[in-house]
Amino acid sequence: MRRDTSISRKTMPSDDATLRVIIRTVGLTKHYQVKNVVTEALRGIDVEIYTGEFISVMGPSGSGKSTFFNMIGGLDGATGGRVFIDEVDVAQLTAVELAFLRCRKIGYIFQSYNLITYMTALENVTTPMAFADVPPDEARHRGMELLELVGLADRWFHRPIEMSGGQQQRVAIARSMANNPSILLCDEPTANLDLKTGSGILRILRQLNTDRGVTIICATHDHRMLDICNRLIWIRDGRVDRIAKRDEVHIEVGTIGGEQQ
Amino acid sequence: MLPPDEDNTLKRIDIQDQARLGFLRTLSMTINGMRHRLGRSVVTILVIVVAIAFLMNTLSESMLKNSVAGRLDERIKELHTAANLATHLSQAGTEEQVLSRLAAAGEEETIPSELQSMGGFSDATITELTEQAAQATAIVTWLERLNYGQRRRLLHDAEGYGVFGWLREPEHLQRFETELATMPSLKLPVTTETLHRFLEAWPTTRARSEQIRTGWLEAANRLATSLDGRSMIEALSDAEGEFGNQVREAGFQLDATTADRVAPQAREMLDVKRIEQTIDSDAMQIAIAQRLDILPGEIDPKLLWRFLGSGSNASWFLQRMTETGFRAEDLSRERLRELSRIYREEQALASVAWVRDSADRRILDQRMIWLIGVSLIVCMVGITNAMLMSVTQRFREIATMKCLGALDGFIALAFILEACMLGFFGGLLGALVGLTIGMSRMFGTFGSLLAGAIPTFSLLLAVGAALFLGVILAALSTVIPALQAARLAPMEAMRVE
Repeated sequence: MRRDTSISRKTMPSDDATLRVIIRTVGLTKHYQVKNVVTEALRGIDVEIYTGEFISVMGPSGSGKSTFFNMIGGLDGATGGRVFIDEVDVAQLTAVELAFLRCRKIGYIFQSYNLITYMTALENVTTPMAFADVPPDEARHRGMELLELVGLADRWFHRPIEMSGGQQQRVAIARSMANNPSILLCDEPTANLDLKTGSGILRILRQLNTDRGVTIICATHDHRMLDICNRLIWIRDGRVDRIAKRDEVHIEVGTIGGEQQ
Repeated sequence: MLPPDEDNTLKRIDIQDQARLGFLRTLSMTINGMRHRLGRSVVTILVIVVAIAFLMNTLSESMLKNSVAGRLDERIKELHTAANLATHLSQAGTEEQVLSRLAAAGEEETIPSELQSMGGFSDATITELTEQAAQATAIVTWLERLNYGQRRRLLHDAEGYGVFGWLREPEHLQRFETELATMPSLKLPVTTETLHRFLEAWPTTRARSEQIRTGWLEAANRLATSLDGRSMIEALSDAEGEFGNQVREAGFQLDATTADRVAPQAREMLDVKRIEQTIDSDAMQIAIAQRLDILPGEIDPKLLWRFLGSGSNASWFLQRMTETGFRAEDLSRERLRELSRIYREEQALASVAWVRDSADRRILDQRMIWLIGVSLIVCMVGITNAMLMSVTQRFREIATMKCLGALDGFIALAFILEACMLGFFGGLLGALVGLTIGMSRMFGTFGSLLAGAIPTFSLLLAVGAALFLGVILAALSTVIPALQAARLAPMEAMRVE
């Protein structure tokens, strides 16, 4: 736990007035070209995300949520504009620095879990630690701690195929936390799960956010996410449609969202 | 919101170079991964094993066949040295034999001094004759390879060296040349001028070879007087002694090495004949039949020699020979077994003479090259395909690894290591399987002849080459796509699928 507090101190300033910007995008655009057809997935996105925030990125399918997610995670190159992570321009990073960023600064959680199929749960969790050059014994120890955190310590030797979707996603969360990242990027983490399992995942994410001060950015359709996030970003047609704090939105969900349910 | 400060935003806070994993750590991670993926790796390895085994089988069989065929020529020539020499010394060769011996001497660029002295020619004459003989042989060999229709059109029904006499008729030559011009795929081994000059000189060439034949015949007759009623083989058992000198005096050439080889062979032939004659006597035949529990009529030389292969049988046989009244004091148990071995070896040689004779050695070689080429291609396609498949299946894994902070170098190294290990073990297993199949097949064909004819070094080299090929092919066909996938941004790689 000592390690964790040191991280949170670094990423979360004690004084709320000096909240640090951890992710900033400036005029971010992304075009996909298939043969001669150009699809504009993002058409200029400007957002600022602060340390310790829990952000939901919402929008209909095809609005560019996932593309936005990939851009700010340094998983895909932008066509135009800039992404700053910790005030560092991602486009300026070399491949080796990008690997460092992906390994230790950002954790990724995917809709389809993307666990490595032939590895056990523990091996999946310790792989990022191996890339961070953590000695194997320490990696195993920390891996077990993380599996315990997501409630899967007793299943460390299971392969992904032997686990349910919810369990796999929990392993994926443990893996994303392997090197104590400052940022957790989740691409529809609950979309493939049933309500109850999804709630469990959300609870874990919430816990990571409050206890460890990890900045969490979630692309999601899940309305339960509204209850636990600080801010919401709506994306529509590759543009930011609206940004709102949770208390501003809560009322809307109470009326409109309530009708939907 | 604060406007971005352009000068300040480029500073790199806290971002360092990702640590490179050590070779051993990468190796252990790769081996660990392979252990988990064993099921899938087995299929890939099997493809490599089959491909390399196929290649290695073709390679080893062709090498063994060539090696045996090469030795066969030598061995048969060696085995028959005495018999051939006996023929050579007792009668003059035919015109064809004279010409082909001259041509062979021309190919080795030596002067056939024996034939020179028999014909009583000067150095210049014999050189010229050798050249003519070489041309004659080349043309005749070339003509023999034509098909019937072509021969018929070019030469009517002239055959062998007779074609030269036939071609000397101007109308025949003209027809020959006109017809030849209509067959663009055929090309004479000599130029037209050479052919004309050769035909011009043909009567002289014939007369000269006839002169050699006469000289040869005279020498054979001279030698016949020194036989004193012995057969030529009996006389040759003394080849390293007095009879050798008589041979040389008669005008033949016999060097010491040949004499040393011929004399024991001649003695063997005599002994073999003597022992085979014993089964013509009823007493011996019945004794052997009783010992072997077979009918006397079933005993033939082949059976006799197999029987004499064992030491106890040989001692028994010697005793029986003395008892029956045959001269046996100069024979021993070891001698009988040795003769038995030689006899059986000769039989084995005769039974696989097809390798040497198989139509034309060149055709055999061409087929082999074709076979090896095809198996090489099969091997390449098989391995490349298997490895490509296994890599493309793992593009998503590569992308995930990159999300977790893997460097391109790590991914490349991990895939190289894995491919090399698969290639090495698959290649090794395949090479051994292919070699075993090839060896056992060739053993079935050649039997004991294979002993001593195994080109161990070349076979090992072939195993090494097959292994190298397996490793290189596997590594290349894995690393190129893996590195391509690794160079992409993770999400692009995931989209490729």
